[in-house]
Amino acid sequence: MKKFRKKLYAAGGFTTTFMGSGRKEFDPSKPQRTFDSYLKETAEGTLSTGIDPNLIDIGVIGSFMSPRFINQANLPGFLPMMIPSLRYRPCYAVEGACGTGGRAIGVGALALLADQAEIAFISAFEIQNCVKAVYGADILAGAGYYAKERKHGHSFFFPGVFSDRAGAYYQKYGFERARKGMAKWYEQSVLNARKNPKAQEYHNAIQDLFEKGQLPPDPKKFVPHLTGTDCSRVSDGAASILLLTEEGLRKGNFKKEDVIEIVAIAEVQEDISLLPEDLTVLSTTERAVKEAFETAGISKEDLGWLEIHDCFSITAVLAIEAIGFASRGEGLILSSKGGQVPQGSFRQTYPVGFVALGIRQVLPAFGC
Amino acid sequence: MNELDRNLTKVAVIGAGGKMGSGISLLLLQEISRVELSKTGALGTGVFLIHLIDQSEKSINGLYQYLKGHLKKYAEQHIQELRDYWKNNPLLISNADIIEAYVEGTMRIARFSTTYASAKEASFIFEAIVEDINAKAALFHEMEALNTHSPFYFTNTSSIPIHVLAEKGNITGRLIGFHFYNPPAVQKLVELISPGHLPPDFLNLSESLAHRLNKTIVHSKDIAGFIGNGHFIREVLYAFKKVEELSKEMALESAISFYDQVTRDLLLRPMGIFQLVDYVGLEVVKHIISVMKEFLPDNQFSAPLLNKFIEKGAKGGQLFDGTQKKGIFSYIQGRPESIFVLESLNYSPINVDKKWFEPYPSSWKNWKSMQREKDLHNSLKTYFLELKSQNTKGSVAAVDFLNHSVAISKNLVEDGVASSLKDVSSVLKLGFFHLYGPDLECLPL
Repeated sequence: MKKFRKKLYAAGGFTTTFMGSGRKEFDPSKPQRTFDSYLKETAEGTLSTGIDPNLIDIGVIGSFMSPRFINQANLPGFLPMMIPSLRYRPCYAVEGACGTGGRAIGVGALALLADQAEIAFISAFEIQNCVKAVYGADILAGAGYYAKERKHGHSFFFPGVFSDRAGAYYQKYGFERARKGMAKWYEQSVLNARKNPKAQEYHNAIQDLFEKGQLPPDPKKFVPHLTGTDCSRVSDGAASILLLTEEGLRKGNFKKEDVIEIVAIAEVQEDISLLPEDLTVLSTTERAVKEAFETAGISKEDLGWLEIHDCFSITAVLAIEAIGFASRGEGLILSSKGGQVPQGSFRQTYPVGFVALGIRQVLPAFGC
Repeated sequence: MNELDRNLTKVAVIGAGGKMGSGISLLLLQEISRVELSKTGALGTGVFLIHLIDQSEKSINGLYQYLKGHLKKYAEQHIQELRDYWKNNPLLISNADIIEAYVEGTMRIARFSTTYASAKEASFIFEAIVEDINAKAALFHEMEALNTHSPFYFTNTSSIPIHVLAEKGNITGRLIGFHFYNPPAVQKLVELISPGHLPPDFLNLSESLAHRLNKTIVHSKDIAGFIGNGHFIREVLYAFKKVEELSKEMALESAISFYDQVTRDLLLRPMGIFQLVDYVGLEVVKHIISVMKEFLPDNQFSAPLLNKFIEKGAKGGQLFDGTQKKGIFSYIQGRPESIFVLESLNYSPINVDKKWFEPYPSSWKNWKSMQREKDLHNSLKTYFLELKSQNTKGSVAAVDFLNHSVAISKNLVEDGVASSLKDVSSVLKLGFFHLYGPDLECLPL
């Protein structure tokens, strides 16, 4: 996006518990919570800021592949269910694979910048535990170029895709040190999750996480270059947030010191039909980060806090390099050190599932 | 195609709808499907056929559902392998496509029937009918009249001497004991019982087949009970004997519960000896005892107390889905919850005085926890030596029972049923999930 023509803010961030394997209360043999119960919970959470819901001008909802997971499309229809004052107001649904949540924020921001709204309600959810992983893999493979890639992809499609990236990284920069860095990422992710009662890994009580994270991959049991600790879990959950202009802040009685300002959003779309030129580089992320810094007029040295979408530990390592905090091949070292940036440190998000992640990632700024 | 694969093109399972027959059917069907897929790249072409036969229509219907369900689970667990097999089939893209293709294709290999005539072309015939000499012999006679190809027979008998069955069935030289453990799809062990004068080719084929089914073979001599039941039944008889002695000083139900807890907790087993009787089924145990009594010289094979339980209605055994039925005990989630009282014909809460067992040895862990010990061998030695040093009622009974169990094992070797204590140990560990065998160096205590 270009530099914002007016200031944008975020308030009222809320997330439900991210439910799935790892949580003590998760029992796939019993009926699970329905998606609409998650939606209602997150809406109530955001509205608990005290904002008058009648002030909300538009709604945006994001979910990846809900028509296949839960046979539910036409998601904009659920925004007025979540916030009744959105009845007869513009409501949009968004999809963008792992980037769905972030894209929902982007669409909301566009509406505010186009003067179509002063306050937008942005939400996202996923229900993915309703099918066995072996079938879920087929559904999630839709985030790739299904017609061309599914046939020869691994049975667990995306672990296979990122296993290839990890394998290329091991070959280029060394297996042992790469595994150490990825294990350290796993360890710190779970240690962070243990501080968040809503995190899927909150109940993870494994004693030696770093040792577990270094267990070697076994192609006979899983993908060639990754283990279970390198992969995010499948989750059910929802998150939501308000986007506001300055006028929106005034109307909603929000104080600037209680909200966060969004200084840039960079959305960069690659051609899905093209194969990565270099499996050890997240080139699209590099472009997006560059644009975000340019739009905001800042550099990485100005960052105080970093949330990375780590669907796989190798993704986190590559993202650190793409952002520019480490040169190529060195991201794992930074990861194994825990990461230091001026004025703060990496806050690693243990994977909580795809979509609501984009919104959930904003929440730590509120102290969530 | 090698000889085993050629024979696998025409297989029959008789008694396929029973508890053991269904598991045997599943194993064979999975292996045949693997062979067909690897040889032809397709399934259900008609080249390979397995006839699944049971006289009960209801059992055949149940078998169909059982096989479909388990084949689906198998395909889900082996999805990557199946994707590799079908990598050149452009029509099979998603995991769901492949799983469905596997299940439907494999089911096409199976033919379901209630008549023995379906097996008239079979090269291999697996028999898993009722444990009755005359019934089995009659089956063999009928098969020989229908099938003129001199098929090989594999019997799942757990106790009847194979040479007796072969002679009665007039199939000497073509019958081998191929004894699966319950449930066949899960248990790793096959007891292979080869009667004298078996052609080496047949024995070799049988061993190859067991390996292909991913089973561990233990050879047993052709003596009634073989190794597994030879040990189990003798332990059961000893347990009933000890219970009868103990019931002179306490209620019978307490004596039974006591010995069940001794054998489960203090001998570190997955279930106590009487829970195991329930698991096998009281009538099945009684029947095995009568078979062993018929063929073995000594007169120890008698269990009047077991007979009383059966007369009063305690059955045990399992439902088709594996749920434990009431027997000596009634169960909640697989654990004994109350015990059958012969006088009242009701179930009463289990009553075992904690003083008989506490304190447990400091090195004690239950069966599940003990099997996770990194140095299991030394943990077991430490535990048993500590058990021996204790003086509780439970520990004294446990040491006595364990030493008797070791003596049973040694007699099985001396009597020529087992080649070695190691073989007995293998059967106990693989077939009964014991954590140790009689060859543990600190035994007998």
